[in-house]
Amino acid sequence: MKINTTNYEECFLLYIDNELSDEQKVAVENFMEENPVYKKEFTLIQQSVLAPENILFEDKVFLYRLEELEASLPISIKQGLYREEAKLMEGFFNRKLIRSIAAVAALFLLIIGYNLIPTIPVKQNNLKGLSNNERVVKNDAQSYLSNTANSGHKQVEHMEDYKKKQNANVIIQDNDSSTHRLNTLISISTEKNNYAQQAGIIQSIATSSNHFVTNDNAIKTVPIINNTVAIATVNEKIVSSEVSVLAESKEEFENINTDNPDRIIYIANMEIDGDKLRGFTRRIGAFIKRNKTEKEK
Amino acid sequence: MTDKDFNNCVDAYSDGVYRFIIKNIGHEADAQDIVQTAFEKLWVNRTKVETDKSKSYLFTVAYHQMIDHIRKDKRNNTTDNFDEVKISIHQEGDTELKQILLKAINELNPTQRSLVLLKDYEGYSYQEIGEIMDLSESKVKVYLHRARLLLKEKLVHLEKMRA
Repeated sequence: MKINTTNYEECFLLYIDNELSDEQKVAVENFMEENPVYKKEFTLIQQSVLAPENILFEDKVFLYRLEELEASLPISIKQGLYREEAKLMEGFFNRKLIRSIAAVAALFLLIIGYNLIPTIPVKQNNLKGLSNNERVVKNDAQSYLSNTANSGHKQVEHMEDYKKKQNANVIIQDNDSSTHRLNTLISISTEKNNYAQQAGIIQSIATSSNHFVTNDNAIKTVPIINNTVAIATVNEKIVSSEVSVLAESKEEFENINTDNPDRIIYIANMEIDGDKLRGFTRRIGAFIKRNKTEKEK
Repeated sequence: MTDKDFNNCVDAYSDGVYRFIIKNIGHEADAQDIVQTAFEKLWVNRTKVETDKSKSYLFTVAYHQMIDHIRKDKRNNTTDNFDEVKISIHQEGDTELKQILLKAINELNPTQRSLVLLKDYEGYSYQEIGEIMDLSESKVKVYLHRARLLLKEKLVHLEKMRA
């Protein structure tokens, strides 16, 4: 490339960009010596070149890959690290510790659940006078029925003809059926989990017992021949009175006395979905087993 | 490329890539992000990139990241005044001529500025600059010469102002 007054600028630029060969560089230098006028032009172009600056990237540590460093660690240090971790996990997953934690948690949940039980409504009248216990109610009703049956037997003794004896047997049978009916009601009440229903049924039993008392009086006053009819009507009254008592029981309420040790208390009714817990125990077991394996290593 | 080679690349080229980017965009945090992205891409593609080509690969990725950043910045219209930022990163020992030159470089368009920086700071050839900036060698030559002449005119203007 021959340098002249038309291409000197390009040659100067190529010179400062270090894009010329050694021979071409010498040619440019000779041109400037021969033409000092263009030397100033060359100097100005040369001043446009940036001098190196010392600017550092200070966050190199975030760019390094530490796998190399980790690989260079001695095996003893690695084993020491693993051993420390295994000890820590073993202490954390100790069986005794887990059992004690589970026991405390269960007790805690029991206390919380007990405190969260809503107040159970129970009708106030008649229940205090009789008893708060189903068994007491049941015993009262059974004792009353046995008394009624005895009174029936006494009446039978005073009968003179066979027809009256038959009516007396009907009374006994009716009393037996009433006993069975009460037992059924009581068994239903014990099976139910709902306290409100229990209270209602207990209340109805207690009230029906009162009606039996009046029923007893009715049996004594009504002629023996009409006893069957009288008891039948009384039974109808019992049914209607149960309904009325159940309706009335919604109006007035009182807290149940829970001090009685024989009372059955239902805390919660919870259903656990086994599918959602599937694999949980297996993972916990595998985790504990893995720590044990690391410890053995 | 092994982990050791990569860490050597960090030692050798991170300063240069960072300097190239921060001189272009003038924003320290954005420059750090771009450098980090460039090295992240190098790590991801370490099996494809040869060790001796890692420097040009880093500058290529960083340059394109920077262009994307500048375009996004213009689109969002939330650009800071980069000129002021760039002036602030000048060192105290700089001569008046150097400060004027840096200011003149900041007034170039991003392509011309990148050409000058890659040539003067990194010493890349026209061909290498063309590979990094996705330009032909002749275009690199033309664009760079235009940038030089612009800088020269600014220096001449300064000389006249002094006179």
